[in-house]
Amino acid sequence: MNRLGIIGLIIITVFFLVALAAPMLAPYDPRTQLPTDNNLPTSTRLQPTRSNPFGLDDLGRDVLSRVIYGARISMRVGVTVVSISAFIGLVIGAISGFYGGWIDRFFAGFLFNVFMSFPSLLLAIAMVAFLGPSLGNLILALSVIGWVGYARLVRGQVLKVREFDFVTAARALGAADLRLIVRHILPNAIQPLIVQASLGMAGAVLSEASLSFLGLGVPPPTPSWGAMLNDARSYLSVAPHLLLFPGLAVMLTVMAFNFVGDGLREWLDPKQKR
Amino acid sequence: MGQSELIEIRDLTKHFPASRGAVVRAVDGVTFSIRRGETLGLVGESGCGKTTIGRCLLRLIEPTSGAISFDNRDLLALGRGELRRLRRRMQIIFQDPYSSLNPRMKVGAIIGEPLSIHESLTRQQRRDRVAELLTLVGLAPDYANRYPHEFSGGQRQRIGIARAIALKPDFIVADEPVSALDVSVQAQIVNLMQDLQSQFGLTYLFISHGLAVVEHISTRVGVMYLGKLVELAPAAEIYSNPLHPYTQALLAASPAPDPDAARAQKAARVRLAGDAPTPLNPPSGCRFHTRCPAAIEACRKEEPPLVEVSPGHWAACLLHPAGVESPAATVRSSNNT
Repeated sequence: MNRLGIIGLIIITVFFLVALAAPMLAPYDPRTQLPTDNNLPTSTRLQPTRSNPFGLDDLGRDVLSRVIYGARISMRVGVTVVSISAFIGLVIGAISGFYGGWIDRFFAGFLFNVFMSFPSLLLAIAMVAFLGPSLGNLILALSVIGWVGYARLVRGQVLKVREFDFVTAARALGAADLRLIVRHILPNAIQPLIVQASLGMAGAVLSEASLSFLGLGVPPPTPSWGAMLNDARSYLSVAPHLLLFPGLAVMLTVMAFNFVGDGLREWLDPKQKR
Repeated sequence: MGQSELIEIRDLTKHFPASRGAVVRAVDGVTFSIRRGETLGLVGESGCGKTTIGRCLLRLIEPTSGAISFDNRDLLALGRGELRRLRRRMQIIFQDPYSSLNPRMKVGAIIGEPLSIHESLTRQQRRDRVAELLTLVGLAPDYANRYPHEFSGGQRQRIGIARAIALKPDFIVADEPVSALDVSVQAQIVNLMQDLQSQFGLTYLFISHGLAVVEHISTRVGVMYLGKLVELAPAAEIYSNPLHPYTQALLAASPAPDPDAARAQKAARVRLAGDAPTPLNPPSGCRFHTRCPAAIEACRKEEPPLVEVSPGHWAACLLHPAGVESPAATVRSSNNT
């Protein structure tokens, strides 16, 4: 893989390890308010200090610990939402594109359009509001919206790839449908899916933040980067660091996923291998 | 049904649906047979239906109507499972050596795939067979570990041929196998195909858009125009005594290697004006009448049947009438002798 891809992979690995080892790494409990001197002005009171290197949030909780714990939520939401929706999208897109006919008319002509015509965030809000806010329901809601994008992408790719001579060749050899799809079509169709998935990770992290802001994400006091960012908005002028650290965490994650996506794309393409 | 016929197609028709209920008459009532061990060259310009015939013969496309028999079995009546088993006896070689090999599979896996579909071999056995096949088509056995993009067009075509012969088929549709290659490489590939033919007793349907390419390899040559077979004759006969004006025009269009002959050819050249009409709405009567230099009034109305003008030489042209036997009937009687 190329250098940026490796860097991205390292960043993601670090975040994953941080997420896993959060209880060991975090200096404080992310939910506990630390005693502060309430006589100090807010800007000074919340400033980073030696014992709280990322500062304190508006409720006096340690931002470093919350960023560390926040990695757990973001990673879990990003990975599960993208895995679930990409998998559903891959299966449905492949079936729809490969078989065509009424199957394709049902999926691509009807189902895709139904899902695409919903305002996606509104659908997620409605679902979470109906099912109740929890991490599981959040993931479910985001996956239900997310799969269509992957399915459309995969279907389009499959429609293109299935016309290649090597697919006809395999058919002439007597290959079964499953073999045609899995061995010949999908390996040549998933490249854009990988890029889409890396962007999807970023999108999922951001959607999680939006829903958390509306109180439909992970319920407080569980820390998530999105919720922290939204909490920090009101203190932008007095305590910008509240925005800086979770913002940096989101940015690094999104960037790293993009690097890995690009790196994978190159790596998966034998033509670019030396 | 004759012993010597491996494939017989009768009145084969393939109409593709086009927009607004229109149909493209890609193949419109074609009848011919392919004898065991021969190479039947099938020639015509693009869009004449030659590729569609090749695909129908392998049931990669389902014909609209007509009959195809392979080794005395009704190919169109086979169920999925039977068809899959029969596939090992008939294979295809493609025109484009780039799109015909899966770029994500190593050469060994590509050539080994027919073996893993139809035969249960151990890994080692399969590797040995692949090495054997690579040697057979003139490539080094250790190429098995490389990817297709590492090879030239000619080498890729050899890989495609190795895949096609892996199961020792009886019949191979070669769909313009050399059209995408350099002239020097074309000869090598044609020679390789001939070597393999004599070694394994293969039967070829060799599709091409020019008569020059098939001259060398074909036993008999069929010429197609707009979904119809217009002439069918032994190769030597087609080149020395073309009957159909379209065949004559095709021959005139192929370059002659000898400059004197080229000059003579130029003088006597039958030139075709314009493009072929669309198979969406083919001309009435003889489909070639719109471009035919020798067309007479009757050509507009009357569709000429394919008739045997002289023994073994069939043509569908009103200017060359003959006995009204159907090709299948003659084929049969010639076998009985």
